[in-house]
Amino acid sequence: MRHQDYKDELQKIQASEAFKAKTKQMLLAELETPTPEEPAKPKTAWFTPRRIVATAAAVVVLAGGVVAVRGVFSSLNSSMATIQQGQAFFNEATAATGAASVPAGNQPSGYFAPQQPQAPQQQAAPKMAALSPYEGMPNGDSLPDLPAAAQAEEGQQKELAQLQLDDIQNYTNDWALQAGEEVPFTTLPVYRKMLQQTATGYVPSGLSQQQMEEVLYEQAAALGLYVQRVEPQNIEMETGGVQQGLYTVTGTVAGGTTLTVWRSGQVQVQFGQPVNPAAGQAPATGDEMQAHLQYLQALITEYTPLLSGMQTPTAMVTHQQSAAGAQWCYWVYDAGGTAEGALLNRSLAGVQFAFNSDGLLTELNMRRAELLELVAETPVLTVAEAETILLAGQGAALAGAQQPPTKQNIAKVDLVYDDDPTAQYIVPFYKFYVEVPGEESTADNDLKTYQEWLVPAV
Amino acid sequence: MLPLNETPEQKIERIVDEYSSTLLRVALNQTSNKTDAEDAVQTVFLKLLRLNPEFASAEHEKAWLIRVTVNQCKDMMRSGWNKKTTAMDETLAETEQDDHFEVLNVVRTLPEKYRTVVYLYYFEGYSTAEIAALLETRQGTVESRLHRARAKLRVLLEGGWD
Repeated sequence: MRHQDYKDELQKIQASEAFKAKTKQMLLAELETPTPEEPAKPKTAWFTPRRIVATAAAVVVLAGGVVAVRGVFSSLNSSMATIQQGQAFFNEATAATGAASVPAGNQPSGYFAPQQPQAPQQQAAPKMAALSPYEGMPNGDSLPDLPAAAQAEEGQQKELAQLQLDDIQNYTNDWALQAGEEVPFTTLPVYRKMLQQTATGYVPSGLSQQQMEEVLYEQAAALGLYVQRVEPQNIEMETGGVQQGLYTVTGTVAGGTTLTVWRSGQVQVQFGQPVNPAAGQAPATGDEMQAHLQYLQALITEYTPLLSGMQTPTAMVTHQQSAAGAQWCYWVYDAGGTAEGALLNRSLAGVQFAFNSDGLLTELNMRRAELLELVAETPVLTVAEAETILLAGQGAALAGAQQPPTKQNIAKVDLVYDDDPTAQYIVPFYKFYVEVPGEESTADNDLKTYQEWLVPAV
Repeated sequence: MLPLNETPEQKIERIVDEYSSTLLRVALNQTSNKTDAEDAVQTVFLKLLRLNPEFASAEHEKAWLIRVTVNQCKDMMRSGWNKKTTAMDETLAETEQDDHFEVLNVVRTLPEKYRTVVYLYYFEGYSTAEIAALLETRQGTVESRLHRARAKLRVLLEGGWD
């Protein structure tokens, strides 16, 4: 087994005694340098040193309960736009809860409003600039390149997906269609990312340090965590002269728990010790989708303060089966507000709950749509129009190009916002799942091979 | 078990002795040369010293160090600090004259995101959930990368990875 050789070879790599001595010397010298500034103090008085708190007042009754259980594909990581190859498939289910309510004075400001951290709550859609008819990008540029084209330039390889046919057939959601259906949009927004990524390196921009700290304290408060110390991290880049920029702000909590805020407003909470939620440990990997979905709904109730910026917290569970075993991913996004905003949130913004193999909560990732600026409200192609474009050979395959798609082989189509990190614009795409004949799995698992094709929806 | 009432000097002695090799492997997995890797490791130790985070266990401390090392290397790669790409044999020639790194060099041809999960899964023995936490990404993403990496390695190593 070559992976054993890999381990053996890695084992040979040892830090030299000279390196260790030099490093110790450097660190000891660091001890003699002046102590950095005093840690920041909490800004409000009601923070408590509790770990995870779900106060009775904060817990709401799920008015909607399970609205729907659906098998859908994941489009959350559409920036990478990769789906599992080989013996893999996705199962995903969503369920919207009733609108969460939070006691007065216990509401973090609208974290999920992409534009403003302190924007009024209940705003699912990004802040809208003045609308204008779509006339191409400002400065006369054409629409951005397809993600597949951009990634191909980087040498990234896409692979085909093998999926269960049932998942394809059961796939429905507000934007994914049954045969002959059309999307409920006549126009959709195209956004420009306000975070800057240059050709010479990533120069972070976005929230100020004060805003990042406010986000940090808000999220800590929502979790009942007491922030002991706040530390900004700067990065330096040498390209084109030394450039410095604020990168993250990290708050440390007793017990080793940290909250890190990026300039995009993204927050990561890493628990120093795995947390056993009041909802109990996460279901076992072999349990049914329904068990996982109900568990995530219980988490939504328990973590209402954390999700209070959402109008309609909606649970989405992704099941991924591969040769290495089953993995479940818990994702909550805001399906409230406008349908356009919900589409954007489902693709780009929400909260991920991560568990270890013991079913204990280890991490929360709160991802928001990057700071976005509306470019234009653009007319949306119909599915039929997009399909025509696809069949004319003008779609972009996310996996290595195989056979040209045929109408008979189109299994499903989805509408997603793609988050290609290298792209300046965020644009909706139709994602077609096209069966590749003759590529059925040899294993007894009903997996078939599908290829993803993208066609811009505007 | 982390030692109690450890002085800063004792802590420096311990973390450098205990984690230098591990972090060097992590950094060499990320960067392309030994100098960059050593720079990254020293920077990570400095961060540990300055931030002085509290850890619940030695495992947590190690995980934190690995994560920060991965991120530090990414920052370095972004910043243009990464100067050159060399084979592992050449990279380690100073200290590992007689060793060859056949499989390692093949793994190093994978994209960074695949190398990282392969290293953490196969060498460090982390679960995909733990790797997801380490890399600030989703379990599904880790699983996908691991699966793709295995498939690529099977081809590159002519069928011999598992």
